[in-house]
Amino acid sequence: MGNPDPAPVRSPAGQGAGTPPAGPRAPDSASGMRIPRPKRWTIPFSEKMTDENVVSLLANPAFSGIDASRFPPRLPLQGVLKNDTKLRTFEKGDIIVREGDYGNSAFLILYGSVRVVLNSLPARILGRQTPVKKTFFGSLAQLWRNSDVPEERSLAADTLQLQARMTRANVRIGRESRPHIFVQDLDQALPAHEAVILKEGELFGEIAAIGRTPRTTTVLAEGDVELLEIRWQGLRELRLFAPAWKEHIDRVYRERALFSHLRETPVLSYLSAEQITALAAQTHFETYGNFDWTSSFQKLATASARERVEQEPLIAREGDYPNGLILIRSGNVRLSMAYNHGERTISYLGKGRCFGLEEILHNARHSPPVPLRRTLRAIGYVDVLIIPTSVFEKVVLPTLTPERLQALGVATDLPGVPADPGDDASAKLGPDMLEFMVENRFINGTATMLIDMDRCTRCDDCVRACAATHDGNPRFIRQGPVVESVMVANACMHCVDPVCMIGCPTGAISRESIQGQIVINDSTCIGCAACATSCPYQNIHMVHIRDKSGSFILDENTHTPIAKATKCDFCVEQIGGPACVNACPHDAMVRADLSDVDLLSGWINR
Amino acid sequence: MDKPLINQRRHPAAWWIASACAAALLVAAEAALRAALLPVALWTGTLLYALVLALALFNARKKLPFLPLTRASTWLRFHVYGGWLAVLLFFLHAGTAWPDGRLNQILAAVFLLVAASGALGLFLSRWVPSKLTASGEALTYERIPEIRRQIRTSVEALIVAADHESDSSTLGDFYVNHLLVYVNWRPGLFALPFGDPPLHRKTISSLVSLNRYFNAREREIASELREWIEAKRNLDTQLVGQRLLKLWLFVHIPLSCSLIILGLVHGLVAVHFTRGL
Repeated sequence: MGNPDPAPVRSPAGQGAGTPPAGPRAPDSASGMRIPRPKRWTIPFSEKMTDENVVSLLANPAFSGIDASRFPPRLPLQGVLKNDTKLRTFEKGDIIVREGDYGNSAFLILYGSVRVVLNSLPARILGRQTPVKKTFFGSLAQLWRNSDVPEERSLAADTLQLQARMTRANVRIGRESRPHIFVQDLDQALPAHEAVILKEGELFGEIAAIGRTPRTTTVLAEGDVELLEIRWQGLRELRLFAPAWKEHIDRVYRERALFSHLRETPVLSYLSAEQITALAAQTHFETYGNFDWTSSFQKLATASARERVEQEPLIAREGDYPNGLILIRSGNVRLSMAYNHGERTISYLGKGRCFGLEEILHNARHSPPVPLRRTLRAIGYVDVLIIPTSVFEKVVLPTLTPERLQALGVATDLPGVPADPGDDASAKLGPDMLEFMVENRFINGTATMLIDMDRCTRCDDCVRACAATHDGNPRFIRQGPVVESVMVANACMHCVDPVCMIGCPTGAISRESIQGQIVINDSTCIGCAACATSCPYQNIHMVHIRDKSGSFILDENTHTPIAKATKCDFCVEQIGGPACVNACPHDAMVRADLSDVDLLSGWINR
Repeated sequence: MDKPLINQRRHPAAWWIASACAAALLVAAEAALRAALLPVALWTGTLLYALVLALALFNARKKLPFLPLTRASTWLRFHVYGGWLAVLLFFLHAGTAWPDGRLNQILAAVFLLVAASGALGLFLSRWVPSKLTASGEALTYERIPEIRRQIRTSVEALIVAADHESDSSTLGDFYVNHLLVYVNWRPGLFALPFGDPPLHRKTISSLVSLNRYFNAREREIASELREWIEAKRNLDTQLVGQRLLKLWLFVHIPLSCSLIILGLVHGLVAVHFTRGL
């Protein structure tokens, strides 16, 4: 029973388990393999983009109006088009974008038209596949194939991995020798679904690419279609240096995101498409906080708790009249109440939640009106939609019968002012735990590693299991801040809002489709450490890679070691699931989605 | 993520009931075999050895974390409840009297030591973690020597600062007479992780009693020293607790391996002589 193997394990920095990672170390040997240091465009989005293609694109109306001189010399427009885009062709019925997938690119229609399906399609039609996992014997082989050398990389294996990613089985091989999933007999298969047709010159997919959110709709080829796929790094440069693109992307982003989000909001689910459209026209769109909020978060690390709260952008204040229903489109918000000289956190809300509904419902039916009972502040980057109270009362309120409100779980009678805290997260988690989770922004995690220190025997079976499933290299550190008896360990939380993805120049860090884990493609990682710097939780570590002999792999020019970013990948390729949780003999560890307060409180209070 | 990774299916009652049923079945089966004049010892011995091998598989599961072999926590429960059943089987097999013969005596002693060390380990794994959590900052076992050095260096720096800044020898004398002894003190191998060690209490008490001789700067330094003394107390508690959680395994695992080997020898000898009769 217990841990039979108390031997120390190797941490990412080659020290004992739980040791904070040291910075990249100097090579211990001047010898070793020498390769060119990977750069921003060492691995372009497509090897097939030619200078002729770029010239042709520059003549396209979408790019001909761009002032190329606004682009900096290191990131010329031609370079962006050549390295951050690829030409794609599809046949009728081919699925270009699937609802629910995490995409990191947008598409410009060069020829033909596409059909944007507004309603959800069955998984069968979408041809969904489970992520590629190791086979049983492939998993077992790790027993003897794991390297004794820390962070060993085989460059040949990298190439194979890249090829494997390009040839994962699909349904139809397109003209570009690339497999496509397609819907047979498009017109018959999708007659009942609402659709919008997009034509030449129009852009789609930018919402998911920029907002770091899953695709909200499925897009299919109407006929033969040629598209320019722009990875989000290229889209970022275009948005940054071409004002017309910025204006267009922002407008389309807001319009389409607004419509989709309104459709997904439960309280608006009884509205017709026309009513939603009318509502969208009168809905305000606002953003709070910084898109890349890591730096502001880190600056506030030394501030007092009160200062940190006060620095969070105010969305709505307790005591103010409820001017409108606030819908959280993305990000997280803090819900608080005045408490003596400070603000006490009551709960936190994430995507899809709304604020002010109970007050608006109360005021529509009772007099005197009540003000907002809580304060709403943005944690990080937050998109909100605001439906003015007068519009809500006119369009939405008539559709909300008492039965429907009950079905939606909305209280029709306010228990009084101030709000009864009996149903809030503070009561479920305890005030200290809640403040800790919100203040440190751990609520961003969908797979936050929590360890119950009253159960953990410090046996490090979790660390050893992680190392065994990652070629001998553990991808987390069993150390971190502790509140009450719960430790938030240094492991990637696979955030709702993964700011680590913002700065990646090559798109090596991305969302894995379907389940949404954040993974790093080791082959395309250039070791710039942008993701590690951006991660607010220090959960991404830079390591120096070695060859089979244990020597560092060096840059052929500078002779400095090549670095790669590493982190927990949630064992996406393992058939057994996350090894760390499964290896804990004492049920002391969980990977928790902190947007689910009930689940978390159930674990804490078990 | 598509499903929560919180294991809330604990069902301890189900494990208790299943174990109780298995125990009752074993007792009944042994009685039935005995009544039928069948070789009870052969059957119970074979079953006991098979169960011991199955319990030992828990260690093998730890070496294969990449295979879907159910959670380690489920294996541990099987290990614990199966362990109690093995104890029952042992007494059904060997009886309550001390066995004759050197091999049997060694085997019985090893079995009982394995069972006892397992029970001790179970107790420690339930009792020690909360003591460690209550003690203070969670420290990594491998880093404890390094942190010990940091504490000593920091304490010495404060004493030097006190000597320079306060023009007084009070804290210096305290360091020489009390603090140095405490900083260098290490808890014994079998110390337990609860309560304040007497030396810690004495050190704190000495520091408090010197308060009347301090000026303002010395009070500041004394306050910082007290924090380091608390850090040293936590360090000792973490060391003692984590060492205990590892130490019992150094008894349990080697003895378990010996048990498997001795059990095999015992079985072969028993079968050999049974055939000879």
